[in-house]
Amino acid sequence: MEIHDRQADGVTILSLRGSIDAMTAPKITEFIQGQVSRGNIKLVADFSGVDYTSSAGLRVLLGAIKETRAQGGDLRLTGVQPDVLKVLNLSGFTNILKMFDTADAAVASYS
Amino acid sequence: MQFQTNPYLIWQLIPGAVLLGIGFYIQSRPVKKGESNVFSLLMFGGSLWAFANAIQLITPDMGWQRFWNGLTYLGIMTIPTAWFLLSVKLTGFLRGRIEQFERFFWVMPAFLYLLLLTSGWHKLFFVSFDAISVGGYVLLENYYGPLFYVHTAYSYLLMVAGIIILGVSLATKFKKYGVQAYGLIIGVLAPLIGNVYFLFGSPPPGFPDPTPIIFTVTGIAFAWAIFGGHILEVVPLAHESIVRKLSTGVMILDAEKNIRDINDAAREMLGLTSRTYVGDSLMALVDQHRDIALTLNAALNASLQEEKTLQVDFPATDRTFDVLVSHIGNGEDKTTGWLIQFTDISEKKRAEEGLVATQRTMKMVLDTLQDSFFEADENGTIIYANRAFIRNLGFSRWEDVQGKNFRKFTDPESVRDIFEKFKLLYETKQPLESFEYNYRTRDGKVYIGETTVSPIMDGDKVIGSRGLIRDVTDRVKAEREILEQKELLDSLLQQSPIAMVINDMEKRITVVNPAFEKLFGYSQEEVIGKNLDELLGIGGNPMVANDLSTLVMKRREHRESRRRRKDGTPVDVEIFTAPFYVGGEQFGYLAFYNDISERLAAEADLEKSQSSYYAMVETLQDGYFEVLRTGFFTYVNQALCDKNGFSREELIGRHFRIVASRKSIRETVHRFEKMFETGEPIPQFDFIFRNKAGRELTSEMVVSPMIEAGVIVGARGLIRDISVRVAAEEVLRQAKEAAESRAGELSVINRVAVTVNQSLDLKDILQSVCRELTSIFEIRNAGIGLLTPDRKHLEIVAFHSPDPNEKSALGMLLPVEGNTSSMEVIEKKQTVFIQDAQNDPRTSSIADISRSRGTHSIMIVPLLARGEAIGTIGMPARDPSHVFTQNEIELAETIASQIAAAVDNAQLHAKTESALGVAERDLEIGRQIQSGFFPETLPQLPGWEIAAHFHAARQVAGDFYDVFQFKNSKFTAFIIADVCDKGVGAALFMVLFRSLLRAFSETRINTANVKEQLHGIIVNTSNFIAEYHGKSNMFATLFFGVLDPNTGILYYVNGGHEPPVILDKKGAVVERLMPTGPAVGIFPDMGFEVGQIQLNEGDSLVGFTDGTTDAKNVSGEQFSEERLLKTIAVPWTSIFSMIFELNVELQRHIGEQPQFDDITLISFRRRSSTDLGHHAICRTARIEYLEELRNFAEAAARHSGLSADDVFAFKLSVDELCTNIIQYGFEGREPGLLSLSFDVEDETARLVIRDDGKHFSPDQAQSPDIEAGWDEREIGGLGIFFVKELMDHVTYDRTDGGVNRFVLEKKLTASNFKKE
Repeated sequence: MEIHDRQADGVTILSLRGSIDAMTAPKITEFIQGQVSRGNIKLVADFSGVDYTSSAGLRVLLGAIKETRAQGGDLRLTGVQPDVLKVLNLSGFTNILKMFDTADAAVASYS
Repeated sequence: MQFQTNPYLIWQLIPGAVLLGIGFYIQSRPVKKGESNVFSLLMFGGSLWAFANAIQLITPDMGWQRFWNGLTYLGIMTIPTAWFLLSVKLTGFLRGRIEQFERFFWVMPAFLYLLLLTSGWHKLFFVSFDAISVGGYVLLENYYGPLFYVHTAYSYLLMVAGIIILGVSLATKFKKYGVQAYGLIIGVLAPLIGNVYFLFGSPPPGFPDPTPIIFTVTGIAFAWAIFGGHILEVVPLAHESIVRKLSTGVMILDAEKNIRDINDAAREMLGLTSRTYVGDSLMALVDQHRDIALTLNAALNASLQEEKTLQVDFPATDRTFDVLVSHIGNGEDKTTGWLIQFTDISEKKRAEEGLVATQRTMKMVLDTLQDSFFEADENGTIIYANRAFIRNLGFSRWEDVQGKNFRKFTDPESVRDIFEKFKLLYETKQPLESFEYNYRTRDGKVYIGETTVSPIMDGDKVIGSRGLIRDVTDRVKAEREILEQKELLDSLLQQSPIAMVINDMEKRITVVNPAFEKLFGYSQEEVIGKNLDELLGIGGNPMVANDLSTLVMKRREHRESRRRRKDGTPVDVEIFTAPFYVGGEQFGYLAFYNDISERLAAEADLEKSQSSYYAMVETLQDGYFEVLRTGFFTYVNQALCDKNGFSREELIGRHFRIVASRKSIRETVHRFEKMFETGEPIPQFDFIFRNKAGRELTSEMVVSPMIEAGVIVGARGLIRDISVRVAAEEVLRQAKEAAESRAGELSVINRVAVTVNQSLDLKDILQSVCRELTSIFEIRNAGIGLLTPDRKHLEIVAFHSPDPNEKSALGMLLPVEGNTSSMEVIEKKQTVFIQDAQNDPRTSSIADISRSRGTHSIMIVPLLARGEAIGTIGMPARDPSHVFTQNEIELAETIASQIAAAVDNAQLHAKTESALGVAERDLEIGRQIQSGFFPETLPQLPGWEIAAHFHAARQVAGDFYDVFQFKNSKFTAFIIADVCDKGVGAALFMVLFRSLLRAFSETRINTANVKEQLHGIIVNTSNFIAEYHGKSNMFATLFFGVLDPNTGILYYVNGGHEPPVILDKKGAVVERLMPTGPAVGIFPDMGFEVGQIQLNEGDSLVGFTDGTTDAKNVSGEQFSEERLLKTIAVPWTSIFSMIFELNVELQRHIGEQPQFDDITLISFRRRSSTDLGHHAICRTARIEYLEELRNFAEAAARHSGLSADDVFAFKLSVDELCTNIIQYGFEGREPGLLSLSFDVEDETARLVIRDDGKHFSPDQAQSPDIEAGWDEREIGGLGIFFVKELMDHVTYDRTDGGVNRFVLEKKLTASNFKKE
């Protein structure tokens, strides 16, 4: 699991690449917590490189959402691949978080 | 004063003295005061009476006499009372009462005496007196008053009472008094007799009252009886005698602890023999021995009720005594003395010590015994066990067995038996005969003990048992083994199908087995004792078999012959005879008979078949001959005769060379000679024979040697007229031409591919494709149109016309709507041919364009990618009336399919073009072109399992594999190949190569010609490449196998490729299919041979390319062939699992190192009846293996043909459940094992997850609320929820062995199955 981040208009864009499961999820959680602790609470997660996630990934997302929204920020997704979308639908997470087609659209949604 | 003498003075003095003496004597004796005082009083009274009487009579003076007379009465009055009291005290008669009033008894005489003394005044006692002269002396005579008679009556009363008391006591307890009784009797009778005599007899006148005399007698008698017999001693009568006689030492102490009496035994024991010690203080005696004194003192001072027993050592005597101290009371709580009894227990003590020592010795001896020794009480509780007993039962301490019941150490099965045995023991009171018994040790092992038990008796009663147990487990085991072996041998004898006979030294039958009985029809009883040879002999005269007779020389014999059955019928048998030794000595003879009737019959059949063989040979088309070693014909078939024009008679017996042409004779002879030498058949060779007419004809000949009994006796051969083959070759050549023309078409594709190599731009590619199309087909131009994203227009992205004047249609947007032809092509995904585009209603929308361009007939070919049309290629014919042939259409479609995929992906890639480098893009295109060539699904072959894995190093690969079934045939091809180079060029070469192989495989293949066909495919492909592409210097290593799935025979050509591995069902490497020729495509006309191998049930083939074995890790180490072999040489549940695991091993080895070369693996296996039929994987339950487990589930599902949705469902479910197991199943302990197994049966896919962790039930997890908002959602619970949603059926159970089992099932409906 590779994670890169970049800034755009005060929003932090996290690009993830690989599969998210119980082994790789903690790395992501740690990364996000690092971002939040630095005050980056407006987050966009680019999932175009994520081919698969299990419920472990959902836990990461839920945790991130709760943390950021509590501080007035959010975590929004972009580039969600079909298998990942299946899981989000199955779990009802599509009702909880916002998804966008492109990273730019996600960034723009914050303003 | 006057003195007188009286003659009876003596009779007064002697008694007086004696009585006095006795009285004092009594006092001197250690006797009870009560009795002794009274006795003494009696004596003193008598003595006083006697002396006073004597003194009275020494003078006739009446005054003197009266004085002393009065004194006599003191004595006289004392005696009756004393006598009475004495009798009471001696006998104990009313003693208590009387002693209470003892005082009053004395009051009476005292009172009377007083009255006597005062008689002068009242004259009641003595009235008066007188002096009389009797016998020469003067005697006072009293005249008595009434009181005198009262006194006399009273006295007599007491006397008589005393006599009666004593008399009765004597009479009744005579025995008790013993000898001393006589003394008492005399003493009692004396006064009686005396008084009687005095009263009724006639004493001489003047004789004094004889009472003193009488009482002298009594006194003496009593004294003798009492003191001699110790009657007045402290110990009552007769007990005394016992005491004296006792061997127990008895000592009697008085209240002052003085020794009053001590018997001989006591004296001896204590070593006190010098004096009597009577009267000595006991304490003083033991004064030197302080501790003894203290002990005794304490004992003596102990309470009245206690009887103390001590053990005391008297050092003086070096002996040990049991000392019993008892109080002697007087009936009240006062101690009047002690009785001390000594028992010398020195001997006993020594004996005891000796016994203890003996016991200790015995115990030591018992402990050294190997055998177990035990003693048990009557309940069977162990009271003693030696060390061996404890040890043999597996315990270490006595405490472990002590107090336990015998039952505890016996095998539960045998407990009943042991009860019976012990019961028998108690009843018969006899030792039991030794018996074998099963004991059970502490850890439950059984050992067999030979047990001997005897009873422990106490008198007549059995109070326990003791026994010895010898461990005979080994012996019993050995006996059992011997028995088993004996049984084995017996059953061997019984079941042997060969008749066996054992004979004794006199050649008489001793044992036969059932097979003998069956073969010859005799029963065992009938033949025992009979002579074997006489019994079975047949034919001739005498009818003797001689089977054993020839064994005199002690040799073994073997022959075939006929023998006679009981019913007289003959039977053909194979006979073995041999002498029979046991333990080095000859015991007898053995004979074995094997019924060979069937074999003989078979041999007869063979002869018959041989004749039919020749009948068959006659029907052959080819010529068949047989020659002797010398070369002379012994047999020729009709065909040979016909070919050569000779008749049979003309050939038989003639030399072979008669039919050989001069040209080939030498060579032929040489070949024959070599064959005769080596025994190797001559492989097919060309032979020019000469027929009768002299014509020379070419033929093919094969010859093989005829061998009889190991010797080459001749040769047989076939001659095939090659002219037929030549014709066949012509047919083949034509087929080849047809194939080549197809190949020519393929080279068109190749050219396209080559063109692609030169340019990298999609537009350029398509442009050059159009160019190529115009050169291939008779068309005016070629235009490629791609559907716009809104699917409303076709944009012409490439266009070419050979005519430079032709207007380019590039950039034109043709509406799809109304363009029925294009719509049809796109929707139906089929080529449409329009004869007249200008007027055909299907092309109405482009009618104008067509007109302007002069288009008439046009072929529109769809561009298909991922099952959808993404565009079209329009090709108007040059000649308006040209009709496109089917071939042309197919070719055009083929070309279209090549580029469609590339175009499609190029379009997709255009979106992310910025992210990809140019080089990558071109590789991606190449990959797409190439990926269309990998079989998307592997063929399903009943009875066989197929799996493959391919991973390109970069985006285009030089390796490929292929699996396909030959058209209309069961034969299946398995191909793995490796092109010599890498990169796009190699990739495209690979495409060509693969296409050629497929093209040349479009041929009729059957069992008869499979090897030829295979050979042809390889040769043709190789030659084609070498000829047409020799300049590019490309070649490929190739393994091409053709499998006959019914027989399991694999025919193969290995062109320089890594030899595939053949594994048997146990996973052992049994074969490597080595190269049968060089790499393919290097030079034309290279030779390839076709090998073949039989694959049996469970056998598998694994093919791989060198990218697998050469794969390097970060340290530069190669994976190596050894490691690959080691990884796969295991009995797998499925070869899919094998390929999967092999790939996991590879990936682990490679690690982070970039993959250098393509990894290709192909495998197939012949299913066996013992196949489990599922794919399986097993891992330690660690998080690092989660990905592998998940990938396995995904790959297995995909491999089994599940739809993408179902594959995903299994992938996610496995992930979720395995995560739970890994994270929660092994808390607090080392991770255990997790295994998955997957199979599809009856349209249901089933995945089973097993682990040996904690119990977990899916019901334990709550379903999450998926409707809840983000702030209400709980973090956990989703995993199980997913599984339940995605799977049709989820079950969980836990086996007894502690293995959790999740079973996930999903029904696969027809629509779920992945379509081609």
